Amino acid sequence: MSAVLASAPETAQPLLSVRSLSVRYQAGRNGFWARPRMINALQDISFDLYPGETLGLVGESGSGKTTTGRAVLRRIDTSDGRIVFNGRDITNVKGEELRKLRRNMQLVFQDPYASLNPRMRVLDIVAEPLIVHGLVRNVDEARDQVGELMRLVNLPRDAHDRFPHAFSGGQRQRIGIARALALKPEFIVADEPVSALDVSVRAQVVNLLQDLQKELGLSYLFIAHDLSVVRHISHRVAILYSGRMVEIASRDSLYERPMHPYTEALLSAVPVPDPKTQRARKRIVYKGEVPDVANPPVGCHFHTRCPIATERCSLQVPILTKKAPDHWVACWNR
Amino acid sequence: MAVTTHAAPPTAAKPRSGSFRPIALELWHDKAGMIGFTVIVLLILMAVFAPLIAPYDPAIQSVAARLKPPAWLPKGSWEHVLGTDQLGRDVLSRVIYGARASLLVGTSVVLLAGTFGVLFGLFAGFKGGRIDDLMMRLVDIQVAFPGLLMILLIISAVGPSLSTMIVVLAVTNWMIYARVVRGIVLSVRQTPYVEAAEMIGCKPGRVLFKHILPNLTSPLLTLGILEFTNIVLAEAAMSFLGLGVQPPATSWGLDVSNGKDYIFVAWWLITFPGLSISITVLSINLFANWLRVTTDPQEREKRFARLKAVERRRNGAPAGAPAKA
Amino acid sequence: MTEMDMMSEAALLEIDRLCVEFDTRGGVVHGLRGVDLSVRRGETLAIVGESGSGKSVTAQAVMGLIDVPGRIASGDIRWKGQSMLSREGLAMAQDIRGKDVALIFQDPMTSLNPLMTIGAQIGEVLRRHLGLSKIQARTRTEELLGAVGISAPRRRVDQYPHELSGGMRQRVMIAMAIACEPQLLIADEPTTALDVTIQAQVLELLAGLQETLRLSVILITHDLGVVAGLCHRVAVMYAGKIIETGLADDVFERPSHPYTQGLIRSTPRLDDQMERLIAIEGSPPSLLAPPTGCAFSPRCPLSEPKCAEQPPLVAVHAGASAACWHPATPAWREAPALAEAVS
Repeated sequence: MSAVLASAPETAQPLLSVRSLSVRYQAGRNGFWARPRMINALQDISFDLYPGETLGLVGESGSGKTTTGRAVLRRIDTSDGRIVFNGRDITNVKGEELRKLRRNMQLVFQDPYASLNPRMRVLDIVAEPLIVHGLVRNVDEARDQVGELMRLVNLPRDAHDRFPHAFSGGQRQRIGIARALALKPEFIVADEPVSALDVSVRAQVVNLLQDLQKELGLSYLFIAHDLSVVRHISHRVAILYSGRMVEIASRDSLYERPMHPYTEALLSAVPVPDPKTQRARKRIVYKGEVPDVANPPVGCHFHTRCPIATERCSLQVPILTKKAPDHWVACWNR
Repeated sequence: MAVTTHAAPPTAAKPRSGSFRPIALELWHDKAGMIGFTVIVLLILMAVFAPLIAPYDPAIQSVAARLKPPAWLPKGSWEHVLGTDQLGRDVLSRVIYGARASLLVGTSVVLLAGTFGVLFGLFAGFKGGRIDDLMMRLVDIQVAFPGLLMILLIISAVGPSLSTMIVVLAVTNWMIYARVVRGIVLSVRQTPYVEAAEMIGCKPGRVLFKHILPNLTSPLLTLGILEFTNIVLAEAAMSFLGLGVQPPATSWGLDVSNGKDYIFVAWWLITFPGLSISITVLSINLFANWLRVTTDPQEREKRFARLKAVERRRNGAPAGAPAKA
Repeated sequence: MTEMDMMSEAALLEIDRLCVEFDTRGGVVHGLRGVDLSVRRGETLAIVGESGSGKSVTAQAVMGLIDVPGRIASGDIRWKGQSMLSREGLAMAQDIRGKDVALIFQDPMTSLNPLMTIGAQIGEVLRRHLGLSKIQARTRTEELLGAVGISAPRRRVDQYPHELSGGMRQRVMIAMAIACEPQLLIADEPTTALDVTIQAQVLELLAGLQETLRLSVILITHDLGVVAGLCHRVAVMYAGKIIETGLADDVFERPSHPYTQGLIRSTPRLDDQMERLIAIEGSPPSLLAPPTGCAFSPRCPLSEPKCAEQPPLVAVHAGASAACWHPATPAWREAPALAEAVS
């Protein structure tokens, strides 16, 4: 797919440009000498991310949203396609060069409990990126910088010498964000950063991420399974289904005029915390389940559950095409 | 089941280190663990200060005092509290000195085999893929190869001695460490904080030693102690067979072997060294069991709660049944 | 209080000043600190709260699943007026649990036996509780699987849990739970582990079953959206206490307690355009040393000296009560407009 995916600032250079990205996994071997079974986790994903922008990446389990995040960060190898970051092709970057690249792209994890080493003090955790990149010689030298990072994420300065278990989920997620910011990256992949948090602290973290974006000009790839959080933080939103991108559009266009039947279902499935609205809403509940990634259907992966599927859908893979300004959909019938 | 130890606010946080007293108190409350621990300490003291404690040189023979029974039996005398053997050597002194062989062999073998096995497992688990497959097949092959046969082969080629025995036991006992360590490394590698360490640009060495290795300390400690008992038994068995400690040095296994011909005449010859072996192994196991629970946070909490429940029942309020509101 | 008495007459399950404590090395964790609840026949009650609020502990207490290090410290649980915790009640409680009261867990995989076919597992329940024969049990199992929307039940009966998807397994759990035609179904975060579209399916199924079987349901969740479409009454829990309870429509429309207000307002919604979410700052208190007064006061914008005293749960308006000294006072500022947030 060679089409350039449009975005709001047409003239600006994209910070991250992904073209026809595919990832194949080894799904274990049956024996020592046997050829590994391959699973297509991701097929033909393309998108651009501009400086200061948030792209929401939404999908259910097995949709490939986490794989996309990890592939873009070069945590997993790509099988096909190109990843260009800051004008530089990083698709095959390895070793020391990849390590240096980490200064520009970071990850915020889903689980704030498991992503901090329980045996390290907060100071050691946040200072570690500075140390391993040789920016400071030891932890004590990093103290001031870490203090500044703590201020940035609204953590008390005296948090330095405590261990992660002394903090609540929301505070831990702030520590994780401070660690990701330590190297002053331009681009952050946020992999479901609030879904493991309690409802009352989710808003804190979402607001923090928005403030940081304004203050530091960060670009986010915001991965979520929940369309309601994504709406608040994203400028554009992409929907993944079973390893393929089915729709990508500017936020308002997507939420007000969803075009792919899967996006419609996803939107209508999100419960609204208001009984009257909830009762009044037309709910689209589709039969069936997400297909097995190891054995997806031929043609459009959604056609087995789709109400408007035609014969063509079960034969040919629909291509992502522009249906409206800044609105791309992969569906034969829309 | 979710134990709702909800995140405490930062002000209520306690430092992790410097918690020797509570641990000592916990050991004190666990009777079996305490007994095990005490016996182990006594054994170590006995081995270290053997020359000061032992009434005689264990190698000195006295034809006049052959096969004397223990002091409390008729014909026994307090000169030889546990009696003497067929060569007139003092059994008590031999038992005391015998602890040295057991502890020395046990410690050296655990350290030697442990170091090799841990490094092997770390490497295999961290590299993964084909290298891991290949390395673990090597482990499988050695596990499948009869250990005793290997020992016999090596000893017959090199000749029996204390140091040979240590090396031979290490060579036949390192595999379990490799397997355990590899398993833990594989699972810890999947944890988000190890991924986080790699994400921020830690080099493999730092990831391995700073983030993965600390997870191994408590399981390895328990494993090492349990393996120690195996080695103590193996040392006894080898010395019994004449492949281990050579006279005039002493060892419990050697003494059991020496005494076996006199089992009906002088039962004390095999009883006391044999008892020493059993007590050592039993108390190490008791202690290791306590240690295993203590290093597992969940089990540790449960043990604490059970203790509390017992206390509450003793104080009159029936636990479990609610007080009338 | 006469209204309360009338309610308790018809109540199927009553929880009375229940306290559950956990002995931990750090001290006693007060999981539940005096919870009053009642569920009537045919009613769906939602218990909403965050992790550590005590909502799951409540369910475990009803099911008799409180085990070391936890224990029921005081209070009572009554089934149709009879205590389930007294010495005489224990035997009856054993009988009721699993038959008249059934529980659905968050993660179906942990409560299904991986080594038994789903038919065998549901069949075992039927044969033990209802004394059906092997053949009867199988027919009934197929009926049940059909009732929870599993296609081709005849084939599924002989499958193992790992052959089913997450949504299917949760359906199997529901089938097993309704196998003995219980009167009360407790669903502990039944859809949290599921994808959004599957969650919608399972919620629809629960609502349907509730209607057709005249079930009473206790739905435990942290997600207000799940509550909105499904439940008649809501109880909001915070730090081991119920801080607000009432009819769902009332609670959502006119939340009385500042925490409930904040919870509703901080939940991102699909149907509004707020640029910035209202955030409740801080985090829930430690239950090791719970505050003597209102547990929410450290995070509450309305907090004042009086809040150092525990406010009682009192009726605020028809159909709703809250434990707050300033019930029904708007606690949170309107969301600042985008321009304001940027500046």
